[in-house]
Parts: sequence; C-alpha cells; structure tokens
Amino acid sequence: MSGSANVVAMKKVVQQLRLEAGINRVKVSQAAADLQQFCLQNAQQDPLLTGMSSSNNPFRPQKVCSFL
Amino acid sequence: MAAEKAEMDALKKECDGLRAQIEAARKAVNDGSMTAAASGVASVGRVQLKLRKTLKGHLAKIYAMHWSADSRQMVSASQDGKLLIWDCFTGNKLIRTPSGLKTPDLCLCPLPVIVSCLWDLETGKQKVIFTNHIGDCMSLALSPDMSTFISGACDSLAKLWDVREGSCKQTFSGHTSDINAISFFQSGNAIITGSDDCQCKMYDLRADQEVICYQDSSLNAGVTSLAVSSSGRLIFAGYDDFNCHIWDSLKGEKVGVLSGHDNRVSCTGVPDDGMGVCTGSWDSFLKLWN
Repeated sequence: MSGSANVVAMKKVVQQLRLEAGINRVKVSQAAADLQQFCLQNAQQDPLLTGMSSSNNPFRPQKVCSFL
Repeated sequence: MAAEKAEMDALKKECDGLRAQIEAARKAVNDGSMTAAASGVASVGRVQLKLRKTLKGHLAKIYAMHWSADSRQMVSASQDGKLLIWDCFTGNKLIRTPSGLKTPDLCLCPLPVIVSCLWDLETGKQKVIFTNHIGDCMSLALSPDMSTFISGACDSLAKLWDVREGSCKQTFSGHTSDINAISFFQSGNAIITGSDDCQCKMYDLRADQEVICYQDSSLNAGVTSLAVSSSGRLIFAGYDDFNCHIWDSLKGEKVGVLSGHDNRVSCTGVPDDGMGVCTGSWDSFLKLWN
C-alpha cells in the first residue's frame, strides 16, 4: 500500500534527521582559526602562491641548450 | 486511513522539530565570521597565472578531468566517447580508450571509480549504493583520508557520507540551485561547493555550516567546476562565462582569472604536487596554467 510506504519513507527521514541533529558542533570562530592556520602554514609550499622558476616548471617547455 | 494520516502528521511534525533543532544548534556555535577573522591576514595580491600548454585531441565537449597521483598524468573524458590519458609534461597522449561510463564526474583513487555508487572495478559489480539525494547527484569528492566522501546534487544540497557504512552523516544547505562542483579543503575539515546559482560556498564540517560565500555581482554565470591550491588558499572555479575565476578562500575576494577558453569551463583540477591547474572546456581543449 502506498500509504504505509510513505510512512516507512518518512520514518527514514526522521531517523536521518535525528542522526544529523545529534552531532557535536565546533564554534565557527575556532573552525575559521583552524582553516586560516592551515592555509598560512602551507603557504610557502604552495607553488601557485609562491611562483616557480622556469627550470622548476614541469609544464613549461624546456629550452634546448647547445654547445657553441 | 485516518490512523496512517495521524502517523504521517506526527512524523512530519517531528521532522520540522528536528530541522529547527539543527538550525538552532548551528546558530548557537556561529560566533564569528570567516571574513572578519581573515581581516588580519595578508592579501595574496593579484594572482596571475600563465597558460603553459593547450592539450588538443578531443573531438567534442570535455566533461571531466582528473589528475593521477604522480601529478604528471591526467585523464580527461569527453562527449566524443573517449577517455584520453595525457602526459602533461610533454603534452602527449598516452592512451585512448572508449568510455563505457555515462558519468558527469569521475574520480580516480585507490578505491574503484566512484559514480554515485561504489563499483568494484574487477568484478564490475556495484558494492554500495548511496541513496539519499532527491535530485541527480552531479558531483563527488573523496576526503583526503578516504574515509568519507561528499556529494553535491540538483536538490541544491551537499551531503557527507561514510564510505564503508554507506550512511549520510551531514547535510549542508544554502545554495539555491544545482550544485555542480564539490571539493574537500586539504585539511579535511571543510568542503567547497560551486552551483548554478553563480556562487561558491565553503562549509566547515566541524561547525556543520556555511562559513563563507564566494560571490560577485558582476558574475552571473553558473559554477561548473572547482579545484583548490595545495595550501587551500586559492580556489579555482570554472564558470559558464568561459573563464576560471580565482578566489582567496579566506577573505572571499576574487584575486585573478584564467581566460582563454572559447566555451564554458567544465572541469578544473590541481595535481597533488600543486604545481599547476588544469582547465577543461566545452571547446574540446584542456589548458595547463601556472
């Protein structure tokens, strides 16, 4: 019966919401501070922030050297 | 049946109550804004990346791309029915294979390819099916520790799943249209989404809520794809306006743009070594920038 199927489906929704309601939440100020710290700590190792020399650049075609 | 209707009404009431409870719990921890917290952080300035290579070979729109763990090879999928594997250092194609998958997103990882279910590549059987979204699931990403994954769907929700249990752990709302792109922040504590509503958002998993929105009144195109630089500071978001715009993830400001495609940018990816960003487009080309 489609009626009781609706009840079953609805019970699942309730169960899922109970699960999601029950989690522990960290303060946004703490979360923001941690995200910031992660970015700043890793900034020096981020080649797209620091840039790179062409000899280190894997996508730049290597210039061909020749002996004169 | 009256009894059934009564039961449904009671259940609906319980749902509403639980939703209100969740919103209240989120508000209770919302004690500060990310942008305010980032006011003391130095600006990244204007980020200007150069086009290094254009990879030509697909015959139709490119839908998806993914970097190999070696940060050198990359696979791309196109409407031409082919998967191409590229050596991005030389620009050469390594393998060309017909794709049997009709997926808008592909994810290569030690686990089998994730579509919206977990496939065992060897047996070709579905191992776990994750059902919870109401709309089509448009985007997926695996967590850095591979214990969870996130999905974004046409119901405008993002959901966090436990890979082994197949259960949904958290649901994030806020977008007003399809979520086309989703990615983990490298620390594993936050996710970033991109949507047809022209916005990107960052949700913190531990605070269980949106912490920053990346939007600009001059940007009226939907977000199709996104990727994050290795420190997490830069977000590369591909848009329907043919560009990939670069956002400062902490300050929420636009800091650059990758222009060059002749059609919408459909996919974006940063390799594990962080040395560049790849954009793929409906113009059938892939471009490498750094």
